[in-house]
Amino acid sequence: MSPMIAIFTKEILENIRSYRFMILSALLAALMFISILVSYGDYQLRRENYDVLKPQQPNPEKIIIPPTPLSVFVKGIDTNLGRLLQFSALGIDVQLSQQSVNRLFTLFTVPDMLFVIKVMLSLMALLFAFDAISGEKEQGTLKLLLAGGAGRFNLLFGKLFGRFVLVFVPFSILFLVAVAVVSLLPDVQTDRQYWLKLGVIVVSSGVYCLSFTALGILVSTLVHRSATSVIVSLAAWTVFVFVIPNLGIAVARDLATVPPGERVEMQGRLAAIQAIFERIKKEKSGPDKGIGTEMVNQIWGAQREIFESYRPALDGQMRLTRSIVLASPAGALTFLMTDVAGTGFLEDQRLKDAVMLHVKLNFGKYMHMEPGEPGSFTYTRTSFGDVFLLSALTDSLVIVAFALFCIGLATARFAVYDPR
Amino acid sequence: MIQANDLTKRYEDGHLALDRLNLNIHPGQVYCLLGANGAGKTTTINLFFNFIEPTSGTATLNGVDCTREPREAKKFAAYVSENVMLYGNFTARQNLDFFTRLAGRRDLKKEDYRLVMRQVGLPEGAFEHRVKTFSKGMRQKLGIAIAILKQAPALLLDEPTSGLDPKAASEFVALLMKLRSEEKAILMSTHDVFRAKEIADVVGIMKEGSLIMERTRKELEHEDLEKLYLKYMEVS
Repeated sequence: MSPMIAIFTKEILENIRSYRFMILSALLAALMFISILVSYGDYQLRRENYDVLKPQQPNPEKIIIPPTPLSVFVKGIDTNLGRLLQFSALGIDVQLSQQSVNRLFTLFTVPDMLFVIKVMLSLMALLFAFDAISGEKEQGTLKLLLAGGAGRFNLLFGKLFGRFVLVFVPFSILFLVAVAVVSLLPDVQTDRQYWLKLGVIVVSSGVYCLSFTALGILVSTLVHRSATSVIVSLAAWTVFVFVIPNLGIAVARDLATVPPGERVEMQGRLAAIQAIFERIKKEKSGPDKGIGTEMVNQIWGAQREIFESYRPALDGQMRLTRSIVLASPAGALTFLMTDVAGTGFLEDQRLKDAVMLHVKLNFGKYMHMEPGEPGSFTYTRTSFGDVFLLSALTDSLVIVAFALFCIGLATARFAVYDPR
Repeated sequence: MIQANDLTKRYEDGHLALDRLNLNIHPGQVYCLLGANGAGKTTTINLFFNFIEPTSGTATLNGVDCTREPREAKKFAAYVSENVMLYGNFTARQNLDFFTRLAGRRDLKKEDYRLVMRQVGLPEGAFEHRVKTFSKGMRQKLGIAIAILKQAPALLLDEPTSGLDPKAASEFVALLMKLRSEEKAILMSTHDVFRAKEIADVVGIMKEGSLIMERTRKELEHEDLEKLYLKYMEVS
């Protein structure tokens, strides 16, 4: 048995009976249970909503997509994606009333699995790793370990993997139980993409957990007291999980100003009202056969203009936000998981493009301005292959790079760590 | 077996902790380093285990340079500190199992651990007890048991009898004598002049980082080590 395996085993045996392990694992289990319970309830409500609102007959003017079962785990902006859009001569109307199917959720944020992983799993990883080295020093066992034949490299990596397993294995077991339960519930249809995406979610959680374990180990090699280590670790956790992602959004909002969506929709309505007003004026001045078509074209021309100026600005703001937020593994994980689950901004952009294309292809037919019958809206959420190429690869590389950076720095730091 | 050649350690703040120390300890020899706090005894042991790096000179164990090849060098030495700290939630046997596996030994069975615990004088009832319930004397004995199981030819002990009651200290010294008879090379730093005289084949007195006196057991037969120690301590 190599020294690394001996240390790995010791870490497991020593910690598995500790109050720290029992309390944190119980908390994790409780939070995951609540998360699945609330998220499934929310998903069911949205599913029922969809069943009521979806067109019973082929209807080109009603656009709505069903909630994805993956939103039980990663809710993202699935509520927004599932809104009913209705187009008419006056433009595309968004049913805003659907934005929150349960108003309680606006008071108490739904703790979906992404939240559990992003916040709780990272915190657990840090709370297990912060004293890995400094704790041995305080306990007086570090010198004995090093003198006993554990090379510094073996010691560091034995601890890193041992503490990672202590956090990630209970999480994985609980997650797999949750997946098994959810998959058996009514309204949850599973297919190859569903399982593949869940697999990616588990793997990326593992890398994310490893990155925070490495961060904790790094902190424990920077200080000599566990009390200092826990404070530094919590400060680092707050920065990476809360400060950077929120700061990124604030900075991007300031640097790339985009009007709110509601204002853009309002501008569209104003353009429609203006067109109707002009038609009324023209009708008063005398009958004209082309007035109706002209009005519709005017409305849609104005709306297209508004949309075409709004969309690049919104995309620019999104890109900037993503660039800033990717400085944090928590930010990268949020983008990665929401995009993989099909509940993120990538899906939102794809859906908007699909809606615009549908309107463009069918509007003339729908208004009887062109020959032919308009088709119904069809949409398939992004496959994992596409998500991987479009965004997930970059996001996962960010998390991997963060883990490697912490491991590398911890190794360099521990090589000169004074064990006395 | 345990060798220091012009071993020097100067810390970043300029303090000279060890000044050109030369030592040569053979198998079956016990070398006691005496000296006040800060004399450089612990620094010497720290350098052999590469806890810190020397400013100049070399420390070798069985001819292997402790700075250049620390992992290889450590295979030849076992360490017992002033206050052996082990894993409190593990039993005595679990601690032995872990540290012997760490040292690369996989051939040991439960009975081997019991045998060595009997050998160092741990009471039978303590074998499966958690170490957090152990007295300091029991922990020191367990530390020696770890060192024995490592089967290293050299033992470096940093004030191992400090804080032990006379009975425990006497039992500890008896253990060291047994290890000497098994041809172990032993370097022990201590404040305890009486224990040093009792066990040492060579006694060295350190002061302010320098080895200022060295006497063999034979040379000490007609001298009072305590007086000698006090004399050297008084010399400025």
